Amino acid sequence: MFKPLSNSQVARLGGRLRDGVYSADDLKLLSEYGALFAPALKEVVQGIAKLTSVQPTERPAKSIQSIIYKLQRLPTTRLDSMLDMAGCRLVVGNTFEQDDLAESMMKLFCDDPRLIDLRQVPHAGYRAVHVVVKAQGRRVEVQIRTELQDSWAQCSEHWAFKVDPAIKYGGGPKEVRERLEHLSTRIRQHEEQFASRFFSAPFFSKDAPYGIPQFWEEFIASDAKLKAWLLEWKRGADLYQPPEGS
Amino acid sequence: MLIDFDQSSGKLLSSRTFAESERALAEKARLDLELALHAAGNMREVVILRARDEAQIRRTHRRYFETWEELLT
Repeated sequence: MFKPLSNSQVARLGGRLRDGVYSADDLKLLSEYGALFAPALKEVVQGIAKLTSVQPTERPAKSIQSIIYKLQRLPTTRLDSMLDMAGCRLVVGNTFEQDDLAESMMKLFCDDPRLIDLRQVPHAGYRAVHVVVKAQGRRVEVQIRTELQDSWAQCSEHWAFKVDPAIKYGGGPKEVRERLEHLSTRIRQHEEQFASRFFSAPFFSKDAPYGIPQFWEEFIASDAKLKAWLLEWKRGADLYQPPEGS
Repeated sequence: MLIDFDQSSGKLLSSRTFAESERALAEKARLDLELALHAAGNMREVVILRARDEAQIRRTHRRYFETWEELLT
C-alpha cells in the first residue's frame, strides 16, 4: 500500500513531464497516480453495464506519451486536473443511441457530470460525445461515438501517423485539414438529417410517405457512401506528398 | 491487452494479452516497458486496454490493428 500522492506532488510531477525532464522515478510515480483511478473506472463500467448491452473498452490509464503531449500542447493544463486520466470508449450504431446513453450516464452519475458534445463544436473535425463523470472522488471520461464518427476518427489518426501528428489538433497541411473537416461536416449533415427526419411527426403517422424500414435502408446506404469516401480519402494518406516548399 | 505502438511509423510493435486475474502483472509489464524505453531514450505509445474479449478491443481501437481497407469494412 503506497502513500497517496499529494496534490502538490502531482502538480510538480506534471511540471517535470511538461518540461521533458522526468526520471525513471517520475514514471513510477505517474504509474502510482494512474492506479488511483482504477476503482473509479470499475464503478463507471459497472454503471454502464446497467444502461446498455454495448461493451465498453476500458483504458485504465492514459499513456505516458499522451500525457506528455497533452501537457506540452496545452500549457495551462495541469496533470491533476486532466479529465481523461482514465476512461473508456463505446461505439454505438447511431446518434439516437448516443444521446440516450449520454443522458442515462448523466442521470446515473449525477455528482457534477460534464457533457462534452463535440458534435456541435468539433475539435479539428473530431465529433463524439464525451461524458466526464465522477466516481469515488475521481473523474472518468466516457467516450461515446457513433460508427461513422469512429470511422472518421480512425481516418484522422491514420493521417496523423502518416503525415503530421498536428492534424489531430487542427494543425498540419492545410489541404489535409480542410478535407478531413469537410468529411466531418458531411457526416454531421448525414446524422442530423436522419435524426430530424426520424423525430419529425409525419414520420410516425400512418400517412407517412415512407416507413421505418425504408428510412433505415436510406440511412444505411448513406452510411456506406460516406464510408466509401473515407476509404478513398484514407488511401491517399499512404501516397501523400507534401507540396513543394512546405 | 498491453499495446506497444509506434506513432511515428503508425505501426503496432507488439501486443500482449493478459487474463483478468493478471491485472497487476499487466501493469508491471507496462511500467517495465516504459522504463526500458525511457532508459533507451525512446518514447512510444504504451497503453493497457481492457475489455471482455480481444475482439472488443479490436473494434473500438481499430487503428492499432487494421489497415486502411479493414478499418472501413
